[in-house]
Order: sequence, then structure tokens, then C-alpha cells
Amino acid sequence: MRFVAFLLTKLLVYVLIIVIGVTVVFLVPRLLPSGPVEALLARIMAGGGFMEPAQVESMRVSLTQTFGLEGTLWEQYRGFIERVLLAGDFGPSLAMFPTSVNVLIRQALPWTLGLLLTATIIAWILGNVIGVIAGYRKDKAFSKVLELIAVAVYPIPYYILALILIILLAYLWPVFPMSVHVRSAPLSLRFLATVVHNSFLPALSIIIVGVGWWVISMKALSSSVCEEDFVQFARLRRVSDGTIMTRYVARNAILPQITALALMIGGVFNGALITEIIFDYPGLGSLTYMAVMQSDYNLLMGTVTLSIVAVATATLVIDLLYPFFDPRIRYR
Amino acid sequence: MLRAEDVKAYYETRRGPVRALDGVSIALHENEIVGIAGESGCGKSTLVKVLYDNVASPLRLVSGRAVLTRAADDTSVLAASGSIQDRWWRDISFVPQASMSVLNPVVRIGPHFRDSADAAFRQMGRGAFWARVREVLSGLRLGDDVLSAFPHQLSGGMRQRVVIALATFLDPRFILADEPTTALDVVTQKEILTLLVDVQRRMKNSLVIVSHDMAVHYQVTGRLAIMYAGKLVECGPTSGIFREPRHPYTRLLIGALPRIGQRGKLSGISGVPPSLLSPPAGCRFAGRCPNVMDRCRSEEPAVRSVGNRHVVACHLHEPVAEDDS
Ligand SMILES: Nc1ncnc2c1ncn2[C@@H]1O[C@H](COP(=O)(O)OP(=O)(O)OP(=O)(O)O)[C@@H](O)[C@H]1O
Ligand SMILES: [Mg+2]
Repeated sequence: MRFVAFLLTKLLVYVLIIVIGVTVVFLVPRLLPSGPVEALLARIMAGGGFMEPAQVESMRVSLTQTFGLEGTLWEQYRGFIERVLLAGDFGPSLAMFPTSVNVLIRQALPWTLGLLLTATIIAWILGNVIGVIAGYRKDKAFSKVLELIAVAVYPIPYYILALILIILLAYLWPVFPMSVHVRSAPLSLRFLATVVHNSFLPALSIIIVGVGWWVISMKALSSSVCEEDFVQFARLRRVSDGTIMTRYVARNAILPQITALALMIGGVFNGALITEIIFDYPGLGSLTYMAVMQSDYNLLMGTVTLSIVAVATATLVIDLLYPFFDPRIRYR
Repeated sequence: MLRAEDVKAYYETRRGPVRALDGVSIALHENEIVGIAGESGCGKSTLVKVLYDNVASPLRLVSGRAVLTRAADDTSVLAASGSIQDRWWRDISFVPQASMSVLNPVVRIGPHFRDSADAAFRQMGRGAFWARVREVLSGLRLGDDVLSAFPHQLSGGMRQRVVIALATFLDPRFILADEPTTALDVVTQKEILTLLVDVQRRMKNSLVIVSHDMAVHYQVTGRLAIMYAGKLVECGPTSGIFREPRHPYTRLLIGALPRIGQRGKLSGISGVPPSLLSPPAGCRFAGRCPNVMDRCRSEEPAVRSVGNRHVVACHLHEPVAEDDS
């Protein structure tokens, strides 16, 4: 019973967050002095070609219709909510008219998810394992070396690190391509292998930076858990070292990291802007970048809405799962 | 037997060594309950740490050692400082003060038993092992269901009983309990102490109870050691000490106990103990002693016997004690 009440409140909050987020997404472009229609018209005209004022006017009308900018704000809002939230339809892309936003997102999503989910999870596991060892065996030389590496790598600006990787592994010693060649092909083992080969450098760059952060944070968390009475007492009652490190230190120190991972996975749906631009990667980041550069409001709304939903979902999932990780937390 | 031999153990601090134990010797025999008493900061926990061989920075064993001997004959050394750790939880175990926080919050109680007894588990086998755990739990009036509970689901008293079960289920010869009840309310304190004493009676091992509560010592201990500012000032059978305390400090401690029918104010002890960074020459209690003499301020009293396994370190009890002149 308590769980049902808990679930209902959480779901309510979830829906509320999404509706508020989407409303903001709806309002912001409408607050701008020049609407998307004017922006697009300006771009078409700047692209050369002269148009009669009457032609311009008819184009304006048809664009206004396609963008759902007719009627009062309230009518627009209702139409928008119906279309976006209930039907999941973001309309046509303005930059790649008439391809629909949904199609563009559907094409980019697997790339981003494949790359970022894999890289994020690998980095999380690797970083936390190293972090626990470094935190638990603070005084051992290898802990200090590991931490030193993490601390040295972590502050390197991401794009510099990415460029270094490209120079080393794509240029000086060309084992990986500089950017992604394959776009899409029928699914096959060969295709998958090419994708992995193509995505290796961007993945590596994300993992290196990610691992650095997880090592630093997990080391701090575990060394503070090491000072806890229950770890000291475990030592005094001769619990084996391995058990103390896993069941006592890691098991407690990992709790905040689980939340961080969930939020990060939610954030995966933003794409990785810099990574995707540097490696010319056909994911959501590149898509968002294009949407911004070309004032493609529909596309931008599509990607932003997707990431709002993703982060809200990640938060909901972690709220529901957390009591399994930490028995002290109950459904309330 | 478990004994400390002329132990000097200092905490290294930036302001210099804190002489928490300065030449303390004490012996714990089989099948007895020994109390350690004294004001806060006098070195009780430090003595327990040394006896348990849990000496880690900043604490340093400057000289002396702790020795654990075989049960049968007290001369053959089983383990000494540096190796007593190998006997942890088999021959010697420890009940900490902070029962609230010594259990792993994300692990059920059952695995706590399993974790600290790999060897015993293999040796006894699953069935016998858990039967033993259940037996010890029921001796502490805990049901089997605590095994599947998480620590936060238990009351403070239950948690402390779980910790006692943990410390006793492998039947160690020595159990060191450092203020095992201070975190609990008075009623629970009483209950826990009684259970602890019951366990000792049944298992016939030795129990060390550290407490600054003289009433606790009067009720449960057979022998009592009184510490003051890093020194052992008196040690002997509890009944003897309460009947006839020899050291002025002991007298004051006992005098500070409320008695039934007592009128007037309780006699507290005025003044504060000396700094352990730079303890005074002579007797460390001289500054607060009602019977202080000139030599107390310059000459350190040796520990000497006053008969009946009773020792005291005080110039009032010199062998030529009759210096009335
Ligand atoms: N980690 C430490 N670093 C420096 N000094 C310490 C440390 N631990 C204890 N001391 C000092 O050593 C002395 C003895 O401490 P100890 O903990 O043995 O006292 P105690 O008799 O157990 O007191 P209490 O009744 O308060 O537990 C005290 O003066 C204390 O200030
Ligand atoms: Mg203490």
C-alpha cells in the first residue's frame, strides 16, 4: 500500500516535470522577437533568388501552418501538447524539410546510445573499481600511481585529449579512422564491426575522461567509508581484506555513484556535443548542433524534449530502484 | 593469560607525545571478570588497544608488550604484540563502544557472522555453524529473525547484543569490552551487562569491562584496576577495593558514588588530571590528592603489593608504612 502511494506520487512528479519542461520548450522560441518563420524566410531569401512579396506572403502562410503557429497561444499550446506528448510527433525538420524530426532522431539515436551507453558504463565500472582499490589501499604505491594518473588526466580539456588521441591513433599510428565513415547499412556482423572500429576513438576519449572522474570521486568516497566504525570493527574481527573491500567499503561507497550513473545515463540522450563534432559522429549531439546552427526549431524541440524525458525517466528509475541498493531507504 | 608488561604507549601528536600509558602492567587470568576504571582520558581505551594489539598510528608502543599465553600453562607464549592479531576472534575478541555504527548498514546481520569466521565456517560446516550462531543469539535473548534483519531495523540494545554475539560465538578465551553500554539507556545498560556476565559464566572465558561507572564495577567485576593519567594506581579484588580502598584516588572515586540513605552532597573530585603531554614529576595525582606529602611531588610511587593480590602505587603504602614520626 505504501509502495502504491509512493509510486503514484513519483509518477505524478514525473509527468509534471515533463509537462513543465516541454512547456518551456514550447514557450522559449515564441518569446524571441523574430519567429522561426521569419528566420527561415530570411534564410531562403539570403540564399539568393528573388521572390515577389506575394510569393513571400504565401510562403509565410504555409510555413506558419506547417510549424503549427496558427491561432492563439493557447490553441497552439494545445496542438503542441497533443502532437508532441501524446502522439510523439515533432513535425518536419525545418533545415532538412520535409524530412520529419522523428526520422532524424531515429537515425541518430542508435549511434549516440551505442557510443555513449557503452562508454559511460565501461568508464563507470573501470573508474569505480580503480577508485575503491585506490581508496582502500591508500598507502600502497600502486594506489598513489593510479590516483596520480587520474588526477593528471582529468583536468586535460576534453577537446585537447580528443585531439591528442586523433593525432596519436589516427594520424601518427593510423589504426583507427579520424572520423566515422559508415553511415547506415543493413545490419550485419561486418557492419557492426565497422561501427565498433569507427567508434573506437570517440569511445576511448569519453572513457578516459570518465574514468578519471569516477576514480577521483570513488577514491574520496571509499577512503571516507574506510574511516567508518563498521569498517574498523570488521578489521578488528578479522574479516578478510577482500571481503572488507568489496562488501564493506565498495558496497557502501558505491551508493552515490549509482545515482550519478543514472543521471549520466539520462544525460546520454543529449548526445555528446563536442565528441560528436570532433569525430564527425552522426549522433544526437551533431543533430542538436545542426539544429542550433540552422535555427531548426522543430528539430531542437525534438532533441531537447527527448533529453528532458530521458533525464526525468532516469530520475524516476533511480528513485524506484534505490531501496534495493540501500536498505535504509524506504519507499515513502 | 593475557598480560601487559610494563607498557609505554604514546600518541604521537604535533605537540609531542601524549603519554597515554606510562609503564602499565596488568595480568588477566582465565575465567574472571576484570574491570578497568578511571576518569575520561586516563588511558583505559589505550590499554585495551594495546592488549588487543590494535596499535596503529598515531598510537605507538614505545616499550613493553602485550602477551597472550596458552591456557594450560601461563608461561608458554602463544602470541605477543605484533602477532596477537593472528588470534583475533579466535582467542581474543573485542566489543566496541559504538554499537550503533559498527555493523555494516547495507548488509544483513547473518553475513556479519559468516564474514568474521571463514575458518570456523569451513571447519564446522554450514549446519553446525548456524546452529552455533542461533544458540549464542538465543543465549542473548535474540530470535533467529535478527539474522535476516538489517542493522537499522534493530534497537540499540538489540544491536549491542548482536555485537556481543559476534564477539562471543567463536568462544574466545578473552573478551575485551570497551564501555560496552555507554551508548544505551540505563535500563538497557543493566540488561546488557547482565547478559554479558551470563555469557562469561557459561563460557568461562575472561571478560574485561572498561567503564568509568564504579557502580558497574561493583556489580559485575571480580577484580578491578584503577587508572589515573596513564598509570595504574590500584588493582585488586573488587570486594577488597570497595571494602578498603588504598589509593586516595580510589577512595574519592568510591566516595563519589551515591549511596542509599545518603544525605548531603556527593563528594566529587576537584581539579583536573594533569596533561599527558608533560606529566608532572612524582605522583601524577599529587595535585588533587587530599593526603599529599612533599615526596609525592618529586618521587614517583612504585606499584607494590598490599597483600591479597592487591597492589597500589602510593607513598602512603610504603613497606615501612609506619612513618608516623
Ligand atoms: N588519536 C589520538 N591522538 C592523540 N591523543 C589521543 C588519541 N586518542 C587518545 N588520545 C589521548 O590519550 C589519552 C588516553 O585516551 P583514552 O582514549 O585511552 O582514554 P579513556 O580512558 O579511554 O577515556 P574515555 O573514558 O573518555 O574513553 C587521552 O588524554 C587522549 O586525549
Ligand atoms: Mg575510552
